[in-house]
Amino acid sequence: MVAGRLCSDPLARRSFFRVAGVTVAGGPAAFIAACGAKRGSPTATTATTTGASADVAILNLALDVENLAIAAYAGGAKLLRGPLLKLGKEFLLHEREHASGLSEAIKQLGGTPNKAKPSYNFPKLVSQKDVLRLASKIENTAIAAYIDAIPKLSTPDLRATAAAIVTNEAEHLAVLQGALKRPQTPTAFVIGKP
Amino acid sequence: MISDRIVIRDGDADTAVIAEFEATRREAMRRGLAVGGVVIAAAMVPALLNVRNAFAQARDDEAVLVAAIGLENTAIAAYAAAIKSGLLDRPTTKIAELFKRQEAQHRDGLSAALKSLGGTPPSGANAALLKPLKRVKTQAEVASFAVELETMAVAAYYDAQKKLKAAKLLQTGVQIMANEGQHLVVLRQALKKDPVPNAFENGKTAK
Repeated sequence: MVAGRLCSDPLARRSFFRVAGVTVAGGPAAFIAACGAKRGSPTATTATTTGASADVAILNLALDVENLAIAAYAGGAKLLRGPLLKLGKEFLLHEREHASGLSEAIKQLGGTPNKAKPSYNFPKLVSQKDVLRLASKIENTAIAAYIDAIPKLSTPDLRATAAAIVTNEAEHLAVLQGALKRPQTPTAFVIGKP
Repeated sequence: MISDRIVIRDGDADTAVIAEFEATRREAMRRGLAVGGVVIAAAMVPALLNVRNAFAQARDDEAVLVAAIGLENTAIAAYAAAIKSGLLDRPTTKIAELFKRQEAQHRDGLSAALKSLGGTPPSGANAALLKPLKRVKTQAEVASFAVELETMAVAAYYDAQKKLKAAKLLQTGVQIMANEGQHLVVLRQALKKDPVPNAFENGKTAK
């Protein structure tokens, strides 16, 4: 059940990376293994140096978007109430898990994870609806960014993990749209909005 | 606590997971604690594994597309049967109709891609996968069935991301996967469950 625990427990995942001392080949693959690869059999990933450096650049862009989302959910929480506050906190945890996973993958590829900005220039938020709208916009941006990035990632496992993140962001979006009384699944092909 | 979902992972572990789930289900039924979702999920296991195997065995883009179209055909048939069942109230019927249309759009998009590769789209649904639907008696059981189907679809498209080669197909696959995830949100909300339980939605993590 190690894989299941790694997937659901970010702390376990971090400690797995640290303890296992995995190589470039095993690192991102292990990150992926945490989310579905064959148990007890780390997926072999043959990232070339060029592929790895390109992957680092792409993953850092994804990390920037995740950090933006973290700031938005953290800053907007004070305006959320009741069930939406609970969901907002849950979504914040999800974005942190994505950021943590991306950072680990970047390190395993020999890169340096981008840091979050000290502050983000969000529009003034005065109501719960403002937060829902801002979060929807960021989720849409993230979805579009990941979908654009997926074919550029050099390994199947990184692509699958990015797809699992996209699907999570699309789920967030469905909840946010529902809370705004808008259609939750408006299109059969979810493309986001850049 | 009795889970009403089963996690199907790749490889040999499947057998152990199914055995574990089956033991739990039998115990639950013996004690009279089973709810509709548990029974439906267990009944779907063999057929779900067949679908997963079809994706796992796919060796090229064409084979992945054939498996995905078969899956979409089954989802269309499932929502059609759910609508016909007479168990759904009016708002839920509208949702099922929307999801059926969206699954059909997936099928059409995938079929066009397959034809462009020279392939022939398969017709017909996976009858074994639809069998448990004949036993459902409530709207909640229909929703539980749909959760299993959509979860399996997410897992299949997740696996497809490791198989597909063409950039455009990778993007189409994840766009569909994300839509199936959104269907899951609506279904989970209808069942009063956490709408987004997993940070990494790969259809393989039960919560």
